[in-house]
Amino acid sequence: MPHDDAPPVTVITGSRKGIGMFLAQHYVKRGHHVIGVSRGAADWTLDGYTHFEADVADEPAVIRILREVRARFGMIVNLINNAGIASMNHVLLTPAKTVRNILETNLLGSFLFAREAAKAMCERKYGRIVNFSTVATPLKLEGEAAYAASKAAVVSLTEVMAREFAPFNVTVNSIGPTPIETDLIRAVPADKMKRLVARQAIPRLGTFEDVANVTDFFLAPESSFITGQNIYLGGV
Amino acid sequence: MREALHTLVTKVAALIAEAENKAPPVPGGLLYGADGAFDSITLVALIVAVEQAVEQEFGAVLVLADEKAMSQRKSPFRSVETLVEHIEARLKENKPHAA
Repeated sequence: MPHDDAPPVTVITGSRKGIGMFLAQHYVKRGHHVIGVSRGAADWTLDGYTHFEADVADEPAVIRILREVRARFGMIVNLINNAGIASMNHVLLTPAKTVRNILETNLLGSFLFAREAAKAMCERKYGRIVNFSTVATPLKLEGEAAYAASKAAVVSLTEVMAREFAPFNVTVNSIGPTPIETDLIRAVPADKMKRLVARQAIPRLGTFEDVANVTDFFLAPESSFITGQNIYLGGV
Repeated sequence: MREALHTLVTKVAALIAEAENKAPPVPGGLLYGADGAFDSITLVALIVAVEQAVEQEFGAVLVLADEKAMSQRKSPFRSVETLVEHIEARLKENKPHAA
């Protein structure tokens, strides 16, 4: 990371709750200034945390927020594209609008934030971008076709962006969490969840700390030679 | 406005060229391609830097690589002059987030 006295600015989408909230608080504790973005207001505050309300797929809003961050803080060092939605349903019962919403939040949202953050990162010739994939893709999880497909696209996006951003010393990687106790899996029946976890090499639910361990690795300045990689938790 | 934009783009192009150890684009010359001043990656860096410079100088948030720009038969990014025309048109349209 370029030497600078100011705390590194880390943008985290979907920071209002769940993994995003945990990561936001984790990086504030580590001395980052965290910019959180969610569709709704956060019901928590912290010194070193600034919250913006926006839909991650709203292009003008994404541009406005990231340019404001750059103007206020002079840099964007890290981006964690955590915002994501899922919809458990059989393909035959899935409306097009559901698929469109999933693709917009999971794929387009990640794309827009990466594109605009990378513009600021290019200027300083340094940056770290972490996207979120899922084990639902390699496990071919029935009932999550649109979600798994959207995250497969995120892996592909990660791999290509890694090559396009490499000349600017910006790395792009992704993490594929196993099921974790969040709103995203609350609607999944317990027996289905048990069968899913049993397919992992390490058959247990993931924790927020498991996710932070991987994002720490990807964001580390020492990880300058790690790009275009996807790490699945749980040995999937 | 065009003169101010021309000065701005020329200045940014010179800074980018210097940072990349390349010669700055010559007046009327191509920005990229076989006979161009920059390779594709340097052109990307130039467009990003010009967007930021326009924002600082004119207070306008533009996305220069918008749908209109990318669908034109002749790229607006082929020379300093065409890039200046493109920025001027975007500023006049007053569509800061058009993309």
